[in-house]
Amino acid sequence: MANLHINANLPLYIPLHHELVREFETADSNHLLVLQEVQNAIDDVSAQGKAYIDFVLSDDNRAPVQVNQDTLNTLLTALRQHIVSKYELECWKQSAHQARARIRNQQRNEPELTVETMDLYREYGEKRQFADEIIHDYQDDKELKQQERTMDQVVNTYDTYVQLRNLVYILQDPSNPLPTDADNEDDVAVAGGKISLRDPLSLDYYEEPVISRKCMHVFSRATIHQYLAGSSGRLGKNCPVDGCEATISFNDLKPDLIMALRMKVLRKRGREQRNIERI
Amino acid sequence: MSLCKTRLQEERKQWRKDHPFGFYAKPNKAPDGSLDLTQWTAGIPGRPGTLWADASFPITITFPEEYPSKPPKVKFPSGFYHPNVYPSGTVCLSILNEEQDWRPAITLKQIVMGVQELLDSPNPDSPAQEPAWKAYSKDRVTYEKKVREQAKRYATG
Repeated sequence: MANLHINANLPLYIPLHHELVREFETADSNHLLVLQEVQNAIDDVSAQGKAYIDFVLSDDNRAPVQVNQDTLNTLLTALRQHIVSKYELECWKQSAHQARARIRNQQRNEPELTVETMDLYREYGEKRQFADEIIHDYQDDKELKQQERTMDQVVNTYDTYVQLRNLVYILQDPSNPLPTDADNEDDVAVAGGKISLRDPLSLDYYEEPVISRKCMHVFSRATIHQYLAGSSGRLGKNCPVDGCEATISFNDLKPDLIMALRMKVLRKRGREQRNIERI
Repeated sequence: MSLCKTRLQEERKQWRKDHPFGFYAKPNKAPDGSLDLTQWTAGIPGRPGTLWADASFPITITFPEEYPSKPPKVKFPSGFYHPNVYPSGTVCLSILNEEQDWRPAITLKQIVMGVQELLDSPNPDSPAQEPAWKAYSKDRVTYEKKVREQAKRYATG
């Protein structure tokens, strides 16, 4: 009856209990709700930021135009924190999806843990502690993503954040170049260190400015549309700016909110000037 | 208002505010006395120290309806002596050619400066008239004599 000898030591690795797997999957779906909450928070603060900019530039705000640095900083800090949270949640979401797939795969290949299969599990040894691997994967993913884009680049994709952050410079002088321009973009239209506030097609001040994603040149919506109207759809036309090699089409244009802000400041200043002259 | 008209009004405003020394440019008067912004008369001074110096060469600039998508046409008086000027007086210059280097952002100021530059730096690869081009490539003495004679006819002061 030698066969009756039973090894009573538990294996180092045992399969995940299905309850745990279910909990993990629930956590993953809850994550969508959290992401929605964070997005709502971003939208809220953005709306406050926009309202604040509108107030600063409205006629209710008596000349000379000024910002409250504390208000501005509070808005910027809040917005940045929410954006960073959203970014991290998205990193986690990606990892969690991979982890789910790994867990399911593992479960499919594992026999149920019984007295008969226990020896098999003992053979796995410590190697199969894949939960640890999932944690490592998450850390790796996070690091990789952070290398791809710094947090500054992430927050700069949010228009309201960029507007708020640059409000002070633009208020000083609507044609001031922005501190980030010098670092990231070589191609901004700078004349004598100033940004041109005139559309290169009409030479008039910008109306509804749009920017080409390809070459970062800015135009008034109506004039660039008129220019591109003669082109065959997707192919587009040469950028109207001399020396620019880009071919642009309607799809390459998006509203330029920074230029729009510059124009608002310019007009606010114009109104102030007229008020002063009247007095 | 059409893009062409807006643009030409802005060009006029900016020219009046600031333009390069020695140049002039103004829209022609229509028969009814109003300004015709699509037809301009301008004067190109020859660069000091060149064969073209001390003279102001008259040009007409005609803006098409599609301007600034299409370039304006620039003409010297017919028979103007220059390798890159057609017998009709039309200037052959890459920045004035829609198929070549014309871009809508090129301003009137850039155009007249480009024409000034062309005067003393002809492009031997795009001949537009026989006499000046031949002389320029084969008989520089005759070429310079003819250019000086022409400059005298348009002399300033």
